[in-house]
Amino acid sequence: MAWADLRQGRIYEQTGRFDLAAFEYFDTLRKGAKDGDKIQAEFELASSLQTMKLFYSASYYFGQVLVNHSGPNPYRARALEALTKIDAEYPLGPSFMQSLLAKGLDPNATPEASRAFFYYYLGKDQFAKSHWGEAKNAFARITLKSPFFVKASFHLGIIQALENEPAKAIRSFHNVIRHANRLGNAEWLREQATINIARIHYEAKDFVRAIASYAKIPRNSDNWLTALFEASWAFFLMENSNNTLGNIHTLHSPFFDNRFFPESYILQAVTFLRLCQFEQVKNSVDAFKTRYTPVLSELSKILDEAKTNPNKMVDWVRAYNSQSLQVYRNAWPIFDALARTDVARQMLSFVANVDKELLILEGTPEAWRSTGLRGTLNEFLNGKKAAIVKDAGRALYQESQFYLQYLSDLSEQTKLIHAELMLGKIEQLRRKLQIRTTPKKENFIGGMQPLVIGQNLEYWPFEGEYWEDELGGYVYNIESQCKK
Amino acid sequence: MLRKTRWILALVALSILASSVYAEEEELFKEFEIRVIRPRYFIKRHRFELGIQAAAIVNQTFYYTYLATAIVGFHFSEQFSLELLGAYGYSQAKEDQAILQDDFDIKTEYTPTQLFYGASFLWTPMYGKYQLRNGRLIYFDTFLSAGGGMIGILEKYDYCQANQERSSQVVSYPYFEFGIGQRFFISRDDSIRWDIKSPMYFSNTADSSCVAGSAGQSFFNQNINLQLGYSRFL
Repeated sequence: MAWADLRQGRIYEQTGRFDLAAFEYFDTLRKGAKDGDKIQAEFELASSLQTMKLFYSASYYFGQVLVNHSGPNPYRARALEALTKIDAEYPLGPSFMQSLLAKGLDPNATPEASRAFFYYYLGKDQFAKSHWGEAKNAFARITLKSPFFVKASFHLGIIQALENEPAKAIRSFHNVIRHANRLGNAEWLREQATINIARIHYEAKDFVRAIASYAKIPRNSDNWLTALFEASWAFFLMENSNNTLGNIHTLHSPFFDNRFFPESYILQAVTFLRLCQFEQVKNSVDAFKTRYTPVLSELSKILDEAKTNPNKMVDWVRAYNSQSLQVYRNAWPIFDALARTDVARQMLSFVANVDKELLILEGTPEAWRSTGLRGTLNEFLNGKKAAIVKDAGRALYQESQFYLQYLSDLSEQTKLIHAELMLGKIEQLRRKLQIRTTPKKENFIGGMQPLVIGQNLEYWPFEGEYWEDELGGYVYNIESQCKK
Repeated sequence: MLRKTRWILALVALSILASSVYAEEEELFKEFEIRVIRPRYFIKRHRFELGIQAAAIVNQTFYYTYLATAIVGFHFSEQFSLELLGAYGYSQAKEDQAILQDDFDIKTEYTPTQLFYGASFLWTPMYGKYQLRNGRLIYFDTFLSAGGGMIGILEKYDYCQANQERSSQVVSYPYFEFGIGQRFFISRDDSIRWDIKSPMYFSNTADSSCVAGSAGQSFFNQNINLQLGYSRFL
């Protein structure tokens, strides 16, 4: 009797035995419960799994509640609410929503208040296809109260920036900064939004503001070196060569041997070129070759090896992250860069969470195995994991192809600079760099901070020894050698 | 533990009235191709320093002297400051003194420093930083001091014969001193500070004579004070 199993499940729930309750609800389903009992059993099973911290497993049954039933469904809104909550901590990904839609989920059958979940994933899907208009419409329908508001604002900001609406984009990113605390990865989102604001100012040639935004990224953040590097371009365009070179000095410190900023050598070379420090130009070009020629060569081998099996990319990135990678030593900066991509971060976090759930499943009562509940969830989790790993492998492979192209292009640029140096035509190249882009000239100290008159400063000379606390604070002190 | 220090050249240090600290520092470091320029971690300029210290006079042969010291200072700039200090303490005879008296009937002179107060001028020509193994930085500075004031010597006359007894008194002499010390900045307002000071003064032998009113001679004295304490910057 289905109702008897449901009642037993509720009794177990009341005594805190959610594992036994889940079994009773699953048993109800296994025995072929119909209609109301079935929906209730699915919903209660999902809720029990959620309480047991089996979040992805719970998402499977909450999804069933949404798709398996036509007509009135008293659990639809609560299931969506639960999925929204799970998604905030453990992103379910667009594929989850796609699978629900493929199974016949009708967003219009959902109360308006619960539709943010659909709008967000619909927007994300359209965003991935570069359908900006549709994506924007979907994101714009998510209200401030929704847990999806922050992530939707972030995407909206990107679209507005791409559509050349900088003021609106900045507003959207400020929304992210203001409300990011609602989500688990608040700091990361806030920093990404700040960097995007900096980029918008940079695009608008408002370099002072761009640098002020980059300076907000804390030193201990994963985004800090990116901010430092991008700010050095802003300094370059402001003709603050000493700050450009100072930032690059940090990027080239031994602390960041495995970080991937090849373009910093080109920027360093052209900055020296602008100052007519020709010997230094040559040094920068040589340093690029020394550091990145072996990377380029190993990256080609990596792409060859992973061509037929992109999942290898995931294995290498995971091994790099756990410091157990033994191969392709010269290409570790590539693995480091790949490990920092959103794809890899999300995949690694997802796999870790799924593995955690699989481990919890191992310890569930024997009845879970004998009735097939454990098998069903194992199959679901492993299938989901395999799909995510496969997608991530493909994405990481594509990213690596991009790095290969990027490195090849930079390598060509160094050859050009070198050839011009050899041919004595460097003056022509140098003249091309005399691009006055900003009327505003401002003095900066280290750390991307503007000089404030009257401020107490401390100076530390760099005499060949890198100090961790000094990273990001370097400023060069060289003058142009160009003839007036 | 790594250490990095920098010296402020004396010549530049004399430009106390320089209006632009930035220009001054810029000048100092112009020879370096790469510098770190950042807001100073610990700012002393135009701040008061309140300190307490425990002091020990370490060069006295027959007794220990301990003093509690209070300091009030004002920093005109990062390099120069003026401070007032006062100390009061007690002394305790060493075992040697008892042995000499009990075994050899030799009475040693017992004229410990009981107090001193005065003013010092401090010049801080050097600051630096230590990096601990855990990556934490400790900033410090090193200063030289010169000053003067009054020192109070306790004359107990207990080495006098019974028939020569004089009542004990604190005799004051002007002193001048030179010193060296360091502050270790544990936060943006607090520091641990040590000083070695050497107050020097001329005493009059008549003041320690067992016979009141006898003629005396001027006698040079030098203490070595080791001071350790805490300073709060306001």
